[in-house]
Amino acid sequence: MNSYLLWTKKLVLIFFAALAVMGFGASSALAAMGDRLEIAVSKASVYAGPSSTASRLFSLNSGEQMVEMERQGSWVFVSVKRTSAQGWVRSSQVQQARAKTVTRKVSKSVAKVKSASKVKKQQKEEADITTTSRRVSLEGLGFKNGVMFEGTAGTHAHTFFFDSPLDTRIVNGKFRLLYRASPDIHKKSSLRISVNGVPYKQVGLSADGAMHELDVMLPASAFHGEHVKVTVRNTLLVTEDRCFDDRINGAYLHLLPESSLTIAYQSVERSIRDAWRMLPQKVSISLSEGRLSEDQFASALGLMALLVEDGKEVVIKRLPEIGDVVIAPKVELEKLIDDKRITLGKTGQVASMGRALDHVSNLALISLQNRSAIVVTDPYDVQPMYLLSNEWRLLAAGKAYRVYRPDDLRMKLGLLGQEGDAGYYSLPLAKLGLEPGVKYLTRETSWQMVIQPFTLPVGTRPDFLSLNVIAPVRWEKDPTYEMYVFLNDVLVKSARLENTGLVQSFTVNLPPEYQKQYNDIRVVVQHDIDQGDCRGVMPHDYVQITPDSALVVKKIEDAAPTKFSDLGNYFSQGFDTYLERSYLSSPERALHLLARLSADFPLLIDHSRLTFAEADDVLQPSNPFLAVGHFTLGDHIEAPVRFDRGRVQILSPNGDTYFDVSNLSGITVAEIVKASSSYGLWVSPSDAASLPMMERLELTEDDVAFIDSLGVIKTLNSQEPSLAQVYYPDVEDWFDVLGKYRFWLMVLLWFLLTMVIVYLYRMSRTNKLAREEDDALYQEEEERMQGDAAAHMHEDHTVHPGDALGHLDEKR
Amino acid sequence: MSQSGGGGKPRIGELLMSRELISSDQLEQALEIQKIEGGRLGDIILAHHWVGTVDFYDVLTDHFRKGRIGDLLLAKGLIDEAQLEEAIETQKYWGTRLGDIIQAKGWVKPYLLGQALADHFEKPNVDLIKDRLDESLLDRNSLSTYSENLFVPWRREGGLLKVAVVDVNPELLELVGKVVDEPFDFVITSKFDVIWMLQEIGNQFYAEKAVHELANNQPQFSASEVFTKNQLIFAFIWMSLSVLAVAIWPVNSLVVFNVAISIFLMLNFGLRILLTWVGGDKHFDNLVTDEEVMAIDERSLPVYSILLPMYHEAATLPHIAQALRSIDYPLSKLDIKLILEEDDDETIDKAKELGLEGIFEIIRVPDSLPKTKPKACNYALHFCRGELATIYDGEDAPEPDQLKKIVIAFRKAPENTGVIQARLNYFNVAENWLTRMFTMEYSLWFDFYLPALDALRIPIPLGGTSNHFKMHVLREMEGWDPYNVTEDCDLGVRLTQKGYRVGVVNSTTFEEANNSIPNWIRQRSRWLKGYMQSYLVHMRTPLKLYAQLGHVGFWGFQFFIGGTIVSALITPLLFLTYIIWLFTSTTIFNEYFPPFVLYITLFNLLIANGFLIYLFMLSGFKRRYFDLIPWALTVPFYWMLQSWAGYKGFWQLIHNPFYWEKTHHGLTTFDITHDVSADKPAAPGKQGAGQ
Repeated sequence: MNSYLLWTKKLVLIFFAALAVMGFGASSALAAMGDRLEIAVSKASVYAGPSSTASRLFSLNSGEQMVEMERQGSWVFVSVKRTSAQGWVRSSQVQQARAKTVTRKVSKSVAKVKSASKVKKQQKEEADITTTSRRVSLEGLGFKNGVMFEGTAGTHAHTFFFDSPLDTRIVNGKFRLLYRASPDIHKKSSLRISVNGVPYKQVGLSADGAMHELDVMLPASAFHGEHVKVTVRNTLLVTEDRCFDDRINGAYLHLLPESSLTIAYQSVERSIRDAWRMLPQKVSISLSEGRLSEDQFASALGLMALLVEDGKEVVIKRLPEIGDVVIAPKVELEKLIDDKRITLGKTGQVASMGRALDHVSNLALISLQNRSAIVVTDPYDVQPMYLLSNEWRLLAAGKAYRVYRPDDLRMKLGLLGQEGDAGYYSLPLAKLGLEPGVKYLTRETSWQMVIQPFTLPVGTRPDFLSLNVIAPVRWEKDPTYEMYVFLNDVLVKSARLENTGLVQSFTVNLPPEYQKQYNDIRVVVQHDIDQGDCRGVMPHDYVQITPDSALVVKKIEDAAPTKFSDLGNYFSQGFDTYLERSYLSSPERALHLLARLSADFPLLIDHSRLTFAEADDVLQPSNPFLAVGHFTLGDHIEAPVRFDRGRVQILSPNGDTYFDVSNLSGITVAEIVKASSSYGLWVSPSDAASLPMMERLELTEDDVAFIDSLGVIKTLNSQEPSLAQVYYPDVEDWFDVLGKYRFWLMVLLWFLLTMVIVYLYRMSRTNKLAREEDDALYQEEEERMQGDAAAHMHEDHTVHPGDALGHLDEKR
Repeated sequence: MSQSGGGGKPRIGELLMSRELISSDQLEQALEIQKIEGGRLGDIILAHHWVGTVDFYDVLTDHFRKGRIGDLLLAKGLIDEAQLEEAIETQKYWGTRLGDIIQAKGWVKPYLLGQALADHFEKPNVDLIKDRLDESLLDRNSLSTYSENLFVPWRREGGLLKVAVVDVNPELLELVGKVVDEPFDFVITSKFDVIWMLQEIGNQFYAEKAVHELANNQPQFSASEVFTKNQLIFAFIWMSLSVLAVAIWPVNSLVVFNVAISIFLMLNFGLRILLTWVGGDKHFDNLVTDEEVMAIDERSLPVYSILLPMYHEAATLPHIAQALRSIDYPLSKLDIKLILEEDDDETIDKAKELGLEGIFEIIRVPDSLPKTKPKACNYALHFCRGELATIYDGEDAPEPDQLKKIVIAFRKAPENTGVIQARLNYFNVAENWLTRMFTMEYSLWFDFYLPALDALRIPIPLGGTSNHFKMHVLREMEGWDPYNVTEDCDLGVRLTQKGYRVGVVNSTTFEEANNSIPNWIRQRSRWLKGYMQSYLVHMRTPLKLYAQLGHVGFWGFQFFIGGTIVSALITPLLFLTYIIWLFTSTTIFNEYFPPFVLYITLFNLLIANGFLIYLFMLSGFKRRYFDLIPWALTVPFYWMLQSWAGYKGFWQLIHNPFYWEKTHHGLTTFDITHDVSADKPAAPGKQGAGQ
């Protein structure tokens, strides 16, 4: 029995020792942040700075346990475990506090040397099982600036979800929170970290304004399910007086974006799904050395689109450099292995005979160059790429392997919600990322979510929110609660929550003019404090947006696209994609851009409708289309900006040049063009060797966009040239010709006008002379008549009235 | 004239001696001559110039007349007693001679009346066609005097000059004496004989005067030279500088051009606002009340010449004849000249067919160039005997008391008033869109603009008809410019330059509004061409014009005459620019319209044009043609027509400046009437009217 107990104890000790080694052994060679240290000398001084000239804070005795926060030269910044006090200590005075607990316990029952040797043996055995750690920072989750809690009103909380492996044995985890609090906070201010709803650690906040670090060790048991839910909650106080605090908004707590969760897990390469889930924030994809096949390109595009959609940063490498994902034909991989340009890990050798990859399916997790990589190989099939993503669970759950076309994938996966009347669809907010739980409310609480374009049914846009809220009931003098809803920081709804205790429904219109491609929605519920002793009216209430709240999206009417945001709907029935054939040789020139288009637009590129064409080919699209490349525009295609007319300038209405597109080599132009029977999105990538990665591609307004590495830098509406217009300096229109020959035209005009004046002069003169001649004739005649009158009289006295004078005769 | 002596009458020689007009020696000598040569003693005395013709007949007054003319006519059975009585009664009111009244009434033919007159004076009644005059006796320079006063030297008989006269009165005889400047005796003839003979003999003379008088005497006012040398030199320099500027600074030059046009149009608009404001003030209206018309003593009314120039207007002749017959003015004081072109057989035949009474005299204008209305009027002016003169068109329907109102208005007006313009308006207002537009335009013109122009001393472009002149002023102005196709506009400016005022009176002549667009275009193109001619004529010496017209007059002329021309020519260009910009959203005009130009242009487009539309409405209000008011909204289309006419006129100015675009009258289906009721624009007369 004793021996049994002893053996059991040994096993427990071995297990704990192994646990400790597995957890940190892999990274023990170098000290790192979060390492546990102890004082190795009898007494060590702790300084305020990494220098002996800095003020001395306190001293520590031998064996005092600490956590390393930072290291500078021979100084280590430590946090004393017992007191949470922090300071700088000489590195020579500290040592790794390795398995202290274990050894101490062992020393009580087992001979030190023996035990130690056994532990070492165990360590050696365990070391053979490769452990891998993966660190995901808040930045990697998308919190580029971390999270900021501001104001003393009530409690702040934020929950983070970290992916966790599903099929791999998790060794342990560590959540390290880096934070800074404002220096004026009260000592009662506190910070609590809960994991999966269980409080793990709570500390008081120091009012020193310095950066602090808080480590929370997570056992393997914390990792069950797809995610680990980490909630950071804090109370910021400034004084003892809550009424006073309530009016102070200066206090803050900043959770730094470098805060992270590190998961250590057995890197047994048997789960593609986990390999996929555990891909780092910056994913590298290795593609074939030379020219890609069309299928390969399509696979790479599909995969990249998924990764980019997931918020990951993708780097393209070319074999034999091995990235996290390898997309290459088996033949090429085998040749590289044969040529010993890459080495095949032990676990990857699945075939005992024949070629190394003979029995590898077109999707495998293989150890190459001593690292595991997801290998996508021929025959390429784009569908598994989608299944690798969120939809993997279908496969894992043993459901039938179903293949969906990418453009109706989302519809089928039930994300769509139910179709209502007249093209309205209702999407539960919980599925779009709104925190569904009950919120604890003292003064104010808020919910935030971002509606991503690819989460919406194709061809729809957000129309309104249907919010169902349960507000606290009030006691007699309890004042009101208000709810505010913001769309992209524009207040779109303000309402009073009634004192019914029942679910209250609100419809919040989301005006299209405030919508963007990514729509940030924030709901704030605030509790008004009435006058008087606010200590008495600081209720701790609960408020909830119930899970049946929904975003209602509206089907966009089919119409000719006039701006980029119309294209999503226009393309919803499918479209052809034309790519320049040269991208097969240099895929990095197009893949980043296409992945961004796919993720941000979003364009669900149908890989079965990819067409590669030569750069100078004249396209004859008959369906809606996406064309990426320097194709020649057919004459029948109407494009706002054409590159077949020489240089392109963007001018102000006054004719000033905004910029010369041709001079900016890094400019990519996207535009809506009209073919004979359909519209398309035409993207002319910049001539740069590889397109820079961009964070986001906001294409909504207008129909022409100029894009550089920062994203869209300028858009213009070709239908409304009063703000900016496209000008082709090399093309001579009649206006240019006029300008060119202005001088000669003016000379010609002058000549013609002079001729007119000469003509007028001649005409006037002729008229004048004619009149004078006429008058002279009259005068002559008159004179003659005066002279001849008498003679005439004597010749004939009798005059017979002519016909013309008949009327006179009549009158007489 | 009978032998002197005989019966109980005293001998002529003794009578003259008793008045100490001749001496006994002269009587002796005359008797001696009579014994030897025969002949009548009176003739001998007159031939020796011992006594003037006027004195001679003054002495004989009671002795050589055979009773009263009325009795003579009665005795001859030419009139009956009732007519005689009526004539005598009429004479009390009209104050004219009985013969004139009888003739005006058309009871006796002029020839027979002449015969009676001859009997009365015992003189021969000469038929000038059978007994043709001796042309050598004529002083051709006095032809106008002959025709204006209806006498003509006939023959020399027994050394004594015989002058054929139509009437006998001391003033005439005195005038004849002055003109012939020798002893004379008279014979009787009819006025048509004189007119016919003078036209026969003086055709050349009158035609020459009609065409060339103004150009010879006041060449600075003659449009016979369309562009003067100096004007062309100025145009050349201006054109060259403009072309140079456009070549060097294309954008700036065109902006400056735009600015100039925009400001000009804005000021033009401003003037029209001012005119409407001033013209709307009753103070400036030359108001003649009905009471004043009733109270006028008809005996004091002057002889009134009415010129009716017509060309191929046989259809309207009966209407105007009827309109003039019904005019409230002593007929015997009307001197109506039916001015017909020699080659216009159609109208001449119609005139013959109508058998018009004696007050209508036909003046036959010889065929010569330029064939214009002013030339015809100038020609007829030589035969006018009135103290006042006016012009009517064939289709006019003047209000019956218009002439009386004019006489009163002249009496009330300052002495320097040379002409009074009656208002024009239309009787076929509601015939179609065009007539409605035309009516509103004319109402605006005559009810607002003209009184204001008069008040502000801005030259008034007279309307083509119903302008009433003082004859001596008209003759002083040498009539109308036959080369100017809007001779009335030109004359208005000349009158102002000479210091004469142009008045306006509250009497309306109703005309036929043009109801056919091609016809309207013809008329309007002539008007605009005439405006251009007038502008060019008077801007030959702009400084002199400035000095004569003063600030207001000069700038008023620039904007009222010049502005009308520029508006017509420039409007389509501006509208075209606007429409291109509106429908193509082009930006090519942007640089030529910097903001301040854009604002002025927009002001002109929206506010100014809007206000001009409002003015059109206002004219409807003023005339109480409320039905017309909504139609004012369509006036921009009317402006387009105006522009079309403007370009047509401009083209004609260059290649056919003196061509008279004839407006056809008588196209309306409405009755010609001046009785257009206030609340009902016009009563459709014939079938199909108003449709």
